[in-house]
Amino acid sequence: MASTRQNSRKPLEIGVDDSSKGVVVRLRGSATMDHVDRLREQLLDLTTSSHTRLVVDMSELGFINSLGLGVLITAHLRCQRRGYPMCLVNPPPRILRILKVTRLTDLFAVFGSVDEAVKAT
Amino acid sequence: MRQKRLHADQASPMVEMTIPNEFDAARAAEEQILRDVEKHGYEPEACFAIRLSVEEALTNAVKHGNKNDRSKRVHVNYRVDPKQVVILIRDEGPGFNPGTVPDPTSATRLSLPNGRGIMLMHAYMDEVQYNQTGNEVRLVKRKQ
Repeated sequence: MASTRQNSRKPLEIGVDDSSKGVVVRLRGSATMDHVDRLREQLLDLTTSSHTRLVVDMSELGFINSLGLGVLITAHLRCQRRGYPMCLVNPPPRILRILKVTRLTDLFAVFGSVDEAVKAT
Repeated sequence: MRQKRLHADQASPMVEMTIPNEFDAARAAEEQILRDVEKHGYEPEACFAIRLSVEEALTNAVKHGNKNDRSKRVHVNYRVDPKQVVILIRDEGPGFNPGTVPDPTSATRLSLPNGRGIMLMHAYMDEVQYNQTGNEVRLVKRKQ
């Protein structure tokens, strides 16, 4: 929980690995209102071409607001249209609570690790 | 950011800020509120709840209330005392009726990318109230 607290105040960092597992996007820090445009630009850019899957690793994400959730939903719908899955991986308890409160756990496939997500999709 | 501290009859002063209608200024105001809340010894989970709710209220003010109009301002008043945090956020738009906002968790709306801000504020704060015009929200979080 301590690292989640630290990550909730750090600016958002977005890392991308493109491998045989698909595209893995690692979100680290805080997806606040002043970083959402960058998240939208980078994440939606990744949905313009075909992949095996898009995995969003949230394990170091400390904060996300409703605008950030909206970006995830838009990316998810784009992936669906292109015929490949998008999944969320290892959201920390605070992020998982936001997903549960908004019932987005009914929309997204959520896994404990990237390997689990790869195996299941 | 224009700012003054108002000493009303309460022990803690009401801080009054008027900020430009832009996300960077809104984030700076949010950080200031959070610093004051942390200084008063609120639990990390309460700080997170306040942060999320202030972020949602400010986003709504800048984007929906003031419609990203940079000639408008957002008015933020807050008071932090040992028992509770009270935050008022007002935009310069015409207001809206919060009772008409549909439930974003319904099956038909779950995959829409917007409309979750108000429900998040309700889920994380002890009180969420709008003024009659619908252009000011009052958020309260009590210390556990």
